[in-house]
Amino acid sequence: MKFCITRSVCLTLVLLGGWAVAADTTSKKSPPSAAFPSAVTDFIDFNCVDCHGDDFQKGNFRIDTLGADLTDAKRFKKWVRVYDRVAGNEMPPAKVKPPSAKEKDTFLKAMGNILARADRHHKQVVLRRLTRFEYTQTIQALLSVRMDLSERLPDDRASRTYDTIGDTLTISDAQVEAYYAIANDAVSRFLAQREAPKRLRIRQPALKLVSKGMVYTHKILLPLDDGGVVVFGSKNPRSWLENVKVQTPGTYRIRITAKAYQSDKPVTLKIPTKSGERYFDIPPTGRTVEVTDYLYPGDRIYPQPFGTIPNAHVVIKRLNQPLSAFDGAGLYLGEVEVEGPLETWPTRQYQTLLGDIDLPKATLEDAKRVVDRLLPRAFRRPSSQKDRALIHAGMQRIADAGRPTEDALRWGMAATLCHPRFLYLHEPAHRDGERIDDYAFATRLSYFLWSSPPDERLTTLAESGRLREPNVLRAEVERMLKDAKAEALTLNFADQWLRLNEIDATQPDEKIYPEFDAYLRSSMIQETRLFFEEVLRSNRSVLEFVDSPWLIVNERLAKHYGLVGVTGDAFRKVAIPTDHPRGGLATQASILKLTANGINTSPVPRGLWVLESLLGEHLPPPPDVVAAVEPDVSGAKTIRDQLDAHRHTEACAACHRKIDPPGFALENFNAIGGWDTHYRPLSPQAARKPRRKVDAAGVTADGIKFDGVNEFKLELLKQPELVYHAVAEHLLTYGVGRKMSFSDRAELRELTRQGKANSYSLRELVHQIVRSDIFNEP
Amino acid sequence: MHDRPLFSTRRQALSRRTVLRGAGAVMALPFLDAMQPAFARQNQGDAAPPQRLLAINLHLGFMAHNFFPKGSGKRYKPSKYLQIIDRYREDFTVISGTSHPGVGGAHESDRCFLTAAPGVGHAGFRNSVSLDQIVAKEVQGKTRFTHLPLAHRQGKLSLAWTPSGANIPPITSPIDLYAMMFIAGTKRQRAQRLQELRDGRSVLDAVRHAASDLSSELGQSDRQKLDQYFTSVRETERKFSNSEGWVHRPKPTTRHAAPKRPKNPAEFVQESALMYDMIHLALESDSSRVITYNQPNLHIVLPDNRVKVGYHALSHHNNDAGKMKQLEVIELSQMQALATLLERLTNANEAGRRLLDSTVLLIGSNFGNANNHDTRNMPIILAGGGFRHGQHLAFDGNDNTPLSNLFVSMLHRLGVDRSGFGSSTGTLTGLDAK
Repeated sequence: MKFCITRSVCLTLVLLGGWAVAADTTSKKSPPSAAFPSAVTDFIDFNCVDCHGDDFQKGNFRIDTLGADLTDAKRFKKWVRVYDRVAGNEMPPAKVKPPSAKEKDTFLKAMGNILARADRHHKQVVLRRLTRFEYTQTIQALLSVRMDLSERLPDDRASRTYDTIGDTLTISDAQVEAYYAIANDAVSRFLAQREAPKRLRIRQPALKLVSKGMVYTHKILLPLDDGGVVVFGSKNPRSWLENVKVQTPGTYRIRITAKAYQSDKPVTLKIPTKSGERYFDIPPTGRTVEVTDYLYPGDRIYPQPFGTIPNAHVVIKRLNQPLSAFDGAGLYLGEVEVEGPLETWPTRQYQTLLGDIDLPKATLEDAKRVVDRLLPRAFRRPSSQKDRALIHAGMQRIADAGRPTEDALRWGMAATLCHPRFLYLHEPAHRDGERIDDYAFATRLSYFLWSSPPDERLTTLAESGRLREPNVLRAEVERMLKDAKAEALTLNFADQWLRLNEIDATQPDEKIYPEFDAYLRSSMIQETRLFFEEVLRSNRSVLEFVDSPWLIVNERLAKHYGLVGVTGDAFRKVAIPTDHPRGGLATQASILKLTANGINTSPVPRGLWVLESLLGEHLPPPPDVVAAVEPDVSGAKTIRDQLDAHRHTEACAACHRKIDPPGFALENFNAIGGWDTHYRPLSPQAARKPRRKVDAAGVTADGIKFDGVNEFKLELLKQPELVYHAVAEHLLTYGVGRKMSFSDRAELRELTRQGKANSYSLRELVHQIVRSDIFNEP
Repeated sequence: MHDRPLFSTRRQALSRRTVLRGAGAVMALPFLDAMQPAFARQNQGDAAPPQRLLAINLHLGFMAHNFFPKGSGKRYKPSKYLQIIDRYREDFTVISGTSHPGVGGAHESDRCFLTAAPGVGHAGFRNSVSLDQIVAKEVQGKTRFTHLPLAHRQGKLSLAWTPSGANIPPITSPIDLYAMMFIAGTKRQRAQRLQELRDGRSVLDAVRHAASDLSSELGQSDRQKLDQYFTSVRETERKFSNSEGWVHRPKPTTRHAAPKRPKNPAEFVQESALMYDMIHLALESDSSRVITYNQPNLHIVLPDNRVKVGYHALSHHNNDAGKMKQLEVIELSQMQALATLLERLTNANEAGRRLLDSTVLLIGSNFGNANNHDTRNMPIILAGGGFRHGQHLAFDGNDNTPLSNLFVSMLHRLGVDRSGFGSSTGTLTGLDAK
């Protein structure tokens, strides 16, 4: 992390604090621009120009030559900053004679109007392409083809922003090439749906399914008489189900009966899936577990023990004994059931597009018909005669060259999937000119809540012009939130909002945090996602993101948090004892881990996380070229000692008095989110010294003292509207695909005001958002 | 650029296939004499050896005290790491005190290694064009692969960025790369490939027309956005048509056997070295003249009994002597791998000249000190390319010189007439051509 040492914006604030006013304030200064009314220029002349004019440019900022042409984005931003400094009573600085309240009001009103007017011109949502996440979901919705595109398309996510922001979504020739190749693959897989899938239905004892070589030749797996297999080692256990051969891609259900072997405590079973590793605590009495996973031909089902001795067979070989002589804990795998693909056949998508056509006998006209059906679905609005003609012509050329109809169909479908109206979200204005049209609205709504294109129902409602009727819209949003596709709001929005996608940026040091493992990591992510879903589903207040009397945990996390009475791998909602430091988001292990570097903690990234995610602060970036503090491994100094020096530097303090306090409040939580009363030693030499006690006290930017995280949370809860405003802004930024700007402020304030009447419910906020002007404007 | 088959349902399948094809080729060609001369040059009859660019970024960098030498100018005393390549002393310049102004962003700084775009890691950051892409534009179509963006298997990003700030996905498998360069397909495969490329071109032609049509419905700023699409489609068409030309021309042959992955996938330095071998072959066969390699942030524990902790965790050594010792083991072997690359490039001859002399080779790291994510004082080695080497160019460690100045010097050497790049303020002082 970086600490602020020099930054012009900081300086503007700080240096002016010590600046005395010159006597003569009126002469020689030119007005900033003739285009501003006197309500603005008078105020600036009188209050600003002395320090930011011809004679002095404090903080490297000069106002009288700034200019009034607000079409220039950079200049516009500077004027917004001027407005904010005055509105926030930061300018003019305290040491000079303040303008009267009336003068200030007149200025803010006039300036506010000018800025809002200018802003409306350039805040438009930029035409944006589908993100990788959305593209993947869209192909699945259109063609019932699921693809892992993580290696074929660039990752659109960047830290501290949303991938849906059109401005930053770029395209390149490499990407166009990839789109074309992916389109061809997707069409091939779609057309292959004409054949009935080769379904798999297996119910066998594990011994029949695992690799014979691993059992009998390498003697890594121990066979039992009942057909079960015992797996001891957790490192490369080689217990994959070699004889389950997936031939058709699809969703498969996997059921495994397992038991803890030679152990009176449960043994953990790990099953990797496409959506992450799944962990199950298996008792000695046995248990049947079930997972569903999307499998491609060649994929392995690989149940394995977790947390047992890594290489049991090596240990036992060294002792020159058979594996059966090993007396350590293992995992017994009994009966295994695999069934799939679970998808119905023919798929709805194939039925819709090709249901009445027998492909081998199809004519070119048939093929054109298929494309005509695909086009409006791909474009998320009716296709034009022109668009159809363009694609038909290409198909015709293929047919004219004497190639099979299927080639023409493939060409037409591939062209559709590379078409700009498919790849980009085109949002033309409604005939009223104020709003985007109904199809564009249905699309925006659908990608907001589902990251997927609108379904038939939404499209029909858009077509009839009824989608935005208040009752209809409310019912639709409710329907959409209940749909399984709403998972995208968690996986795409919440992951980016809370920066969960950064959780693996660092690996905790094994020596300092021996209790960290993959099971805990996976549980952390799961907890935060489930927590978000619970607040959304159960109509809870966004204030529960700050503090909640409940949590959703499994046994592994409960142990990590020091909560008793939770057993097993299943996540459940539990009440938190009153004095317990957990509750809310910031004290969840996932957040605490991703805001630490795997070794020690620093209040800075944590404070930033709280300010940005929960309070909606937009802090200007720190200077990049300032070196971070190197942790003192000798143990002589804590991070607080080191930071204090910075906080006493005026230039740093301007930002860090805001950033550091929330971080200090969280200081008891170590780099993996466990609770430490004393800092852990970071090196062997530090381990020989007495451990330093953690101090989680601080003073908020407003000067209120707190000691520990619970007191700090109480301070945050005193400003519920800040939290609600922040969440509203995050959701809108994500949903509309642009940063909120000056002219959105009034409506955001209004949303927040209404939010109070709804007890700040997150679900109501979603309803408010889709009704808002911001969400409906081009 | 990527001469990959267009239709592959899954990437693994491609790899397996290419491995098999690779093995076949090796069996067929064991007695062939040295590398066949490159095709492009034969046809175009360039007399002077072409200028090439190779840039390598090692994300976690080097510990400064072991990397930077004592003293400056010609008489510098090699550091522990430079000792390893000291036998090529006259072929490289070590540069200290340079960095990209405004590029912080911790681990994301590798995105800017060749772009120098400030503000990475901040909301709304957008990257700019990378050095290699500027050179690639100049040599477009002259070789089978206009540029080769390469990365270690775990790298998601290459060092190559388009002018619109999009990353060009890297090739991460040396085995695939070998196949792309040397394994000729069957006649049928070639015919199929041609049809793929032609169908591709006609699809792209159609959607380009559709884009002009859509453009008329858009406002100014949206039209600019769609322009990016339009340009990208046209570039891809050009690329396809270029590839069509190369399908007809035979691939060069090589004595070098198809590479095999290290048995232990954790051998990441070996894996990088394998890619260096392929880079050497690519340059030697003139398959490409613009190559970048990105070794990303790796958490792998190097299989060496002196190393117990993951590479990234070691990089945050916090000045702990034990960890620094382990990190040194890794960094020494990284330097060894680079020494081997230098050896290959100085041994390889091309029309009586060493390959290194016609290759501008940049080796460096986005981190000056990965321990505290400091991006200043990047470790930089510039080799080959006909510069006057054998010196340590020491710039101010507190007030760094923009690394972009070096980039401008490199561009000039590569025949690209540009007065500036990124945050450059001129060319790099003290660096002259021979």
